[in-house]
Amino acid sequence: MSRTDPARVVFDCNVYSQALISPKGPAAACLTGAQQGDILPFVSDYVLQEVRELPRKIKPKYGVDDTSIERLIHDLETFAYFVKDVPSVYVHPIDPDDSHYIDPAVATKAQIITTRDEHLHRLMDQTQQIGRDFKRLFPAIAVIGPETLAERIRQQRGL
Amino acid sequence: MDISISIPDEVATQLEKRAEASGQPLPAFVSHLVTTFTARPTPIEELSGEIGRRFLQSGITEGELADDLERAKHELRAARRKPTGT
Repeated sequence: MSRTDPARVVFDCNVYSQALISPKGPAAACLTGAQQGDILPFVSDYVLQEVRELPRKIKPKYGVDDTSIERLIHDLETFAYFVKDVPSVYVHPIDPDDSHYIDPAVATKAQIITTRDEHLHRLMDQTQQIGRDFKRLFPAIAVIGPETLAERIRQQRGL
Repeated sequence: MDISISIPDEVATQLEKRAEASGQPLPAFVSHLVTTFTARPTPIEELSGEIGRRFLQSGITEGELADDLERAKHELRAARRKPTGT
């Protein structure tokens, strides 16, 4: 990841929610990095739908509502890249819904999927068949957590 | 500033449809798109506002929050998969 060539990233819907709830946490650092052009975030319709629907299931104590989510999505329009008609190229063997994060990454040539989802992280496990198969199919894609991406952005900025 | 640009016919058709759906004349709709595209993002702390302030005071850890959000996402997906109707 160099200053002249920002990494292309697909964020899990939870990265957006977590940034909204915890503005000093690693997910917020990732989003701030995206706002400042350190990375290029790509958003598909499916991801957007999960971002929108998530408040229905988030514990009320966190205070996330439709209005705050819509404000976040509106802001995304100023720095994220929205992708339409993402072709299906991969079906996650454990959680097919996770495929919707792989597909836009492939379609946009993203190098990074940022998530805490254990099923997506399992795709990086070279001791398991699922990880070896994924690596063979999509060697350029890395699944990393928000902490790792935030640290990469920090290092990239020389902080 | 007034500018004139050339775009493919199919893009023009899409733009006209979207402008109509938004209830705006085409020039106003395109102007809105360009304005949005060049707007500066809002800092996350500002977007977060009271939600973030409440979280920072709550003592809830980042790990607990992450676990709660993962659970919420999988509940959402399970609910979506549930057959509707009878």
